[in-house]
Amino acid sequence: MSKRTLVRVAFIGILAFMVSTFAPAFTIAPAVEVQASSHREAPLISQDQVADATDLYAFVSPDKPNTVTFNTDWIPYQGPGGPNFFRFGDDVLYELHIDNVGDAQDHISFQFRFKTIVVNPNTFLYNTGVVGKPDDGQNNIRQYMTVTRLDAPSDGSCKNTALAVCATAKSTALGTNIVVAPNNVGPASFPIYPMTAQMAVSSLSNGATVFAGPRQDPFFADIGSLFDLLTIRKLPGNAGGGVNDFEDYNISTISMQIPINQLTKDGSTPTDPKSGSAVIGSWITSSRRTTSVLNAGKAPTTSGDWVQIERLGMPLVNEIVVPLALKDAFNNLKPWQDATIPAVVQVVTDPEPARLLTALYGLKVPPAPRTDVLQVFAQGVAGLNQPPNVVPSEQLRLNVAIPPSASPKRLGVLAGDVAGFPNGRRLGDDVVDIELQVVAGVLVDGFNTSPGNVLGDGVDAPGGTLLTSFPYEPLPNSSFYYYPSGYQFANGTPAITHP
Amino acid sequence: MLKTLFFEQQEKDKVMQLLKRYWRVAVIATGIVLVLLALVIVTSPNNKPNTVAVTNPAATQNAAAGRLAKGSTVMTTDEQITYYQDKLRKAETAPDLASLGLSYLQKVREVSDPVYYTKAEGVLKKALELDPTNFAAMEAMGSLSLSRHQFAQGLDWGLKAQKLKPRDSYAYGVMNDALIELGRYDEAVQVLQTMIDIHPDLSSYSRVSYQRELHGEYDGAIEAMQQAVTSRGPAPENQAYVMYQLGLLYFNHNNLALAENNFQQSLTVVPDYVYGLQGLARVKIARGDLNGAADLYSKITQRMPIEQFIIEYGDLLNTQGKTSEANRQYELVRSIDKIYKENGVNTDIEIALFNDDHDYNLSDNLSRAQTEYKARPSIKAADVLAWTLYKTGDFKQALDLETQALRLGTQDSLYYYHAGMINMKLGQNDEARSYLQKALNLNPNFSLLYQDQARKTLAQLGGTAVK
Repeated sequence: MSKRTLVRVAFIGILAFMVSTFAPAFTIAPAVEVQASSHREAPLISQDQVADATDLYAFVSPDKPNTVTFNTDWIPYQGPGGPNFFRFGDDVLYELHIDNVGDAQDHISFQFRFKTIVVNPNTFLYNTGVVGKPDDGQNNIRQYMTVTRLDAPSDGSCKNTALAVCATAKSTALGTNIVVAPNNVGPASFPIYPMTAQMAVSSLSNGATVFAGPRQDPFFADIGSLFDLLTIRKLPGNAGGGVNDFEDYNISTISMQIPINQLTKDGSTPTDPKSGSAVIGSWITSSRRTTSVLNAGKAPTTSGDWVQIERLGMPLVNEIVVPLALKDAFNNLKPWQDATIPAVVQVVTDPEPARLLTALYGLKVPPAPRTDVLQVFAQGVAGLNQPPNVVPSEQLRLNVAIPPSASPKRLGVLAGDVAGFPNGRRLGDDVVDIELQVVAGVLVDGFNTSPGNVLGDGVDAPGGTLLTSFPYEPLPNSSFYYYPSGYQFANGTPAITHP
Repeated sequence: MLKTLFFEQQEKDKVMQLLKRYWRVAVIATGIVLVLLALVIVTSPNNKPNTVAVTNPAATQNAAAGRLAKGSTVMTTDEQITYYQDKLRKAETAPDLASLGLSYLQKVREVSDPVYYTKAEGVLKKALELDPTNFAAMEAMGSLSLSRHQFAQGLDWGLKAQKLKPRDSYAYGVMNDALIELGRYDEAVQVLQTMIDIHPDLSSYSRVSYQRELHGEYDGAIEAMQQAVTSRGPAPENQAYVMYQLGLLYFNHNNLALAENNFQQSLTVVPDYVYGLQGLARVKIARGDLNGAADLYSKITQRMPIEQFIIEYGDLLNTQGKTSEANRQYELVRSIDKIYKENGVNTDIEIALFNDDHDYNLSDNLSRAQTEYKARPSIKAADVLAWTLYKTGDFKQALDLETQALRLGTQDSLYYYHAGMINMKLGQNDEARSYLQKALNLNPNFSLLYQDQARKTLAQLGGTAVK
C-alpha cells in the first residue's frame, strides 16, 4: 500500500470508527507505520508503488469543450528524489477504461506502456548536462510511452472480460515513442523546466493529446486535523485554515485529452445532457503479468496473462465504501463483478461512515438503504450523470453534454455547479468535503441541513497552481527547492527554498 | 532483555564483548530502518524468502520529510512499543494488541534479538483470544511461526487466514513457505501458482524464483528474480533483498561479475546492507582477497549477529590460520543459538549442519537431524541428515538421504559435494567423480570449507573439473 493510500486510510479511519486501529498507523515510527498498516489495508499493493494509482480526474476541457480530459495519477508520495528518481514501471500495464454504455463493461481501454532508456549507463547522474528538450541527449535516463486503444468487439465476445486479456479485442496503435517529461531536478539542469515539460505534450493519431510525467500532487486534504478529530469535533469544520498534507509531493501523471466523439458509444458529440450517449464512465487499473511457477523442460517465462492489481474510479472509494475484508479483493475486482458481490452492494447502501457520524457526533443521517450513496458511487445521480439502464458499478461518471462552468465551485454539484464532482471530477473539486457531506445525507430531502451540509476538512484547493490548459495539473515540485521555508542543513547552511 | 539473558548465562569475558556488539547493533539499528529481512533470512533455511518484509521506508522517508516540513516528529520503534503499551494499559483491544505484536516483530528485524518473538507471541495470542478473527494477528502469527521454523503451525495460520480472506495473497505466501520447508513441494507449487495469479508482485515473483531454483530451473529462477527486482516496491529493504538474492543466484553459478554487480546494487539501495556486504565478501574470497573479505565479515557480524555470517566468518578465519579467533566466532554461534532456542526458534537443522562441519557433538547431532527430518522431510533436512550420517559413518543410509535431497533436481554445489563424498566412501568412484565435477563446475567457490577438499578428492579419483 502506498503511503498515499495509507494516509487516506488514516482519514477514513476516523470516519470508520477505526481510530484505535489506524490512528497509530499514522503517527508511529516510519518502518512500523507501514508494517502495521500494510496488514490492514490492501497489503498486496503495498509493495508496488509504481503500480499504485492515486487519483482519476475526468472533466470536459474548459478551453476545448469538444474534448474530455482525463488525468490519471500514479506513484504516490514522491519526495525530493535523486539520484534515483521515480519513473513508470516498464513491466506495468497502465490502463484508462471507458464504459460508454452504462452496462459496467470494458468498452474502450487506453493502454499505456513504458520503456526506460539509459543513454549513458556509466554515470549515476539523472542528466549529464543542461537539458532543454525532454529528449536531449543530456537527459540521461528517459522514458518513452506507447499508447494503444482497445475496443470491445461488437459481437460481445469480450463481455465480462478485461479487454487486455480478450483475444478478440480490436487494437489500434495511437502513438509510439512518446517521450515522458523528465523530473524537475533543478534550475541548473533544467533552466526552462516548464517549457521542457510542456514539450512532452504529444498528439496521437486519433486527434487526442497526451502527456506523461511528474506533477505536483493536485489532491488536497488535511489528514492531520482529521486524524485528530479536530475538524469534525469543532463542527462544522469547513472554515478553511487546514494544512494540505499532499502539496509537498509529486505524482506521475498520464493525462489524455480526447475528442468527445472518440469516447461516446455512437461517435456523437452530444449537446443534450439527457442524450442516451452523454454519460461516460471511467476507471483506471494497473496490471502485472503472472507466470507459470514451473516450466519443466520449457523456456522460462514471465509472460503470462495480465493480472489487475489496482483499480480506481471514484475518489476515496476504496477507503469509504469497501470494507477492510474486501480491500484486496476490490483491487482485483472488475466493474461487472461489483453488483454480484453482496457485501460490496451492502456497504454502499448502508455505509459504515454514515452510521459513525451518528455514533460519534450525533449527526442525523438518512436511514439505510442509502440509494443516494448508491447513486453517487455506483449508478450516477439520476438526471445528472446516470446512464440509461445503468448496471451498478463503481466508476467515475461524466455527462459530457454538460458544458464546463465559467466559474467552477469547489463543492461542485452540491453548490449548484453541475459541471463538477460527482459529475466527473475536476482538479479543483473538493472531494473530501463533498463526500463527507454526501455521506451525511445532503442529497436526501430533509437532510440538507447544518452541520451535515457544512462538513469539511478546511483545505479547499490544490496546493499548486493549476495550468489553464492541458495537462492542467501543477508543475512538479523541484527537488532543488524541496526544503521548507527557513530550513537549514545540519551544518547551518540555509537551504534554497521555494522562490 | 538480551543483556539480562547473557548475564544470566555466563560471566566470561567474551560474553562481555558480545554485549558490546549487541549494544552497538541496537543503537545503530534504532536510528536507521535496518535490514528488516534480517531475521527472516537468518532463520530461514537456505537463506530463502520466508516472507518479504512489508514495510515501506521510502514512503516513510518522504513522510518524515513532509513532517519535517510541517515541524512535527516521527516516533521510533521503541516509542511505538511504548505507545501501544500505554494504550493497552488503559484498554485492551485486539487491534492494539496485534499492532504491538507487529511492533515487536519489527524490533526483531531491527536488532536481531529473538526475545521479541516471545513478547510478540504473548500479545498476539491475547489479541486472538479477544478476537479470533483478527486478521492482522493471524498474519503476524503466521510470520512469527515461520520465523521460528515452526512450519506446521505456520501452515495452519496460513490456512486460517486464507479461509477468512480467500483472495489474500499474503496467506498463500505463508502457506507456500511453510509447505516448502515441510517438504511438500507439489502443494507449494500449486499454492504459489494461486498466489501469483492473484497478485504478481515482488513477493510472489521472488517466491517463484526460489521454486524454480529448487526445481533446477536456473534460467527461470534468474528471470523471475529479475522480475522481482523490476517490480520493486517502495521499501528499500525489499529491493535490496531481491537484488541480493539475484546476486546469490549468479554467485552460485560462478558468475562473479554479475553477482558482484547485483550485490553492489543492493548497497546503493540500502547503504551498508549486511547481506550485500556478505555477498561482496564472498566475491572477494572467490578472487583470493581473504583479508578484504575478513574486514567485511568483521563489519557485518558486528552490525548484525546473524548466525550464518558468523559461521562463515569463523571458517574464513580458520582458512587464514587464525584458529583461536575462529573458535571465538563458533562459540558466539552457540551462545546466540541458545537465545534463539529460549525464544522458541528451532534452529536444529542449521546447527546440526554447523556441528557436522566442525565435527562437534556428532552423536547428539544424529538424533537431532533424524528428528528434524522426520518432522519436515524437506530436501534441506534430507541433505543435513545425509551429511550427519556420513560424519557418523553410515554411508549407505547417507546415500539414500542424499538421493532424497537431490530429488527435485536442485543444482546445489554443496549437495553435489556431499553426494560425491558419500559415494566415494561407498567405493562408487564413477558417481563420486561425477558429483564432485558437478559441484566444482557449477561453482568452484561454493564453500571455503570444502572447495579445496572437493578438488583434492576429485584429483585422487582421477577426475578434473572442467572450469
